[in-house]
Amino acid sequence: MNLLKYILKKIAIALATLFVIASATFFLLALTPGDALSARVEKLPDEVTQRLYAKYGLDRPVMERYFITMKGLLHGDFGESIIYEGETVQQIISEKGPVSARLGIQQMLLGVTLGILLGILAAVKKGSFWDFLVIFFSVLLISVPTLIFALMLQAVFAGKLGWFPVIGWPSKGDWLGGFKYTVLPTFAGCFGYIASYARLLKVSMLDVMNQDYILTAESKGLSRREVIVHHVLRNSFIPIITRLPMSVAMCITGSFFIESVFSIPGLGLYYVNAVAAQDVTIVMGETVILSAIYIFVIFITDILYTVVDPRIRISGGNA
Amino acid sequence: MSKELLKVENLKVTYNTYAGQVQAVRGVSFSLDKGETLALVGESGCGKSVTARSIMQLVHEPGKIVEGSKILFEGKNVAEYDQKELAAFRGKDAAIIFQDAMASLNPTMTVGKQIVENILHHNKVSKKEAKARAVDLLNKVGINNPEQRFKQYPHELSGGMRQRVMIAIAFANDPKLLIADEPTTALDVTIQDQIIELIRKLKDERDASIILITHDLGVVAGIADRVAVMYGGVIVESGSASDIFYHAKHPYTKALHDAVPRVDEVSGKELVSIAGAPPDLINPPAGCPFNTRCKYCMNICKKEVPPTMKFGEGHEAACFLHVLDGLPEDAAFLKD
Repeated sequence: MNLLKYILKKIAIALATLFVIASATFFLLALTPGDALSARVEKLPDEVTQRLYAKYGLDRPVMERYFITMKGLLHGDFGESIIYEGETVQQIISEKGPVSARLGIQQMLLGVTLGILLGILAAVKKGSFWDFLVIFFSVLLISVPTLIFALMLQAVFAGKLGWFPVIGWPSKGDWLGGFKYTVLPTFAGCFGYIASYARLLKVSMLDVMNQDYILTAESKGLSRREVIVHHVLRNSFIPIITRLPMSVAMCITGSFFIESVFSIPGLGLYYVNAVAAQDVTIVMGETVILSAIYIFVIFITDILYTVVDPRIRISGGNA
Repeated sequence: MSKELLKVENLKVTYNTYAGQVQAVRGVSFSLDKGETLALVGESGCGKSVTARSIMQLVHEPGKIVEGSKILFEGKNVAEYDQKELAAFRGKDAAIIFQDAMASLNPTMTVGKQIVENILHHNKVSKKEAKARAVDLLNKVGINNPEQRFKQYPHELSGGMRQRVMIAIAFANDPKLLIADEPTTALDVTIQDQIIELIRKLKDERDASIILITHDLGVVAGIADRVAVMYGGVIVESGSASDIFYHAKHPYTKALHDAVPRVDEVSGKELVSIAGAPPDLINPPAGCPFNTRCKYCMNICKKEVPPTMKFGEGHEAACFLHVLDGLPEDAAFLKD
């Protein structure tokens, strides 16, 4: 009963949020000077220009276009791309999405795993050389832009050493053979995860280690190892659980810089190009779909919370 | 064999802070016999909790037990225990319960598991056997439906029940020594009595010794055999409960009694407090720690540390007033 009410409430909020996001995106695009066709029609005769504008409905007033677009969204019809003729948002996402998702997931798995291990190391060896090293590199990795790392990796491991291909991406369905193409982009994108997860976990663990229940655990005669494994870790993973789903959602949106540097046919590159070309249908469609995924992920986070931390059980149980 | 279970000698604990080194405990000595209950009383910040934690070796960075401090448990210095000895000592020989049971229980572990953990660590028994013992313990500490409570998390229990769970954890391996660090401070008055009564009952059944830390003299009167009064990181007076309650020799002890409101007093009378604030333990005052607040402070009290004077069997107080041939007239009440 309670749970059902909770879910219904969440869904209502999600729909309202999507509506606001879609409207804001639409009007922001409408406010920008020029449109998707202005560059193309420069040298065309007026009659052709008018027909082109009529085809995409760009000749109508803003409010009318807004209602047509929103009505389309309601039916799941995002419309046709203006710059890539004949392509729809669904096609583009289903084609480019998996590429960005594979890269993103590889980056995240590597980054989060290393980040968690380093975070534990820094917390357990607090104040030591190791702690200093982890924190020093975390700050460094967060401060240096991804683009720099991507170019550096490319120069050293592809250029100088020639261990990996300079650019490119495995063709569809080629999971193992093309793996070497994914190595450098994966490393280039995982540093952010390492840095933020290591610091997050370290801070969280130190906080938990200061709690009274850790004294209780020690007073039972448990070894430091046992205290950390059984009492510290689970409690300090709560902030990690909050951030993790957001990272997963980020995966599929792709990274513009890394995709550009390594010529990867992913969503990130495509999305940025669409914005630059003011391709309203693509931008609207991608924004709404990606927002919906984000919102869904946040919802999953809330549910996950209650699994890790029994204090936040939604239905309240029989206490 | 001596009856002595624990002897603390010249315990000193310091905390390094940005403001300077806090001398939280400045040379505390006391002993505890088997089956005895010793109350450590004093106001906040006098070093009583730190003393308690030192016995369990639970003083962590930035805190440090100063070398030369001796904590003799059955004649062996706890401070020199190796990892293995310490792991066997904690939870088996000695157990501790804290003021805030909610904060002292792991919020993401069922209470049953937290008890079982202590049983499994010190006994070679199966998980099933450990669970049966834990349920039995929950029953013994007065928790209804122990089978069901076993599976619950700390936040699902009331404050009193949580403290009962802590007591169950503490008594899981029949410890010889129980340290109770303000076990009732966070509880309702009605629950306080029940908890103290429970601790006393379990102690009598198992012949354990107790160090009870409190600032509540009412609690002390109910349970303590002996009392040590702490002030500014040292023990200023110690003796049997009746010595401390009826024949207090130290002006601080006396002031503590005066500060307890009495039910039979005329209503509307102002509550008595001890003027001034406890000493700064980063720069402890020279001489007697109480000299800044003492009504009878003399010149010597500000220069010299008062000697410990003995008054009959086990009753001691550190105060210059008793060094004089005759007590000054205005301190004559300290005579009896």
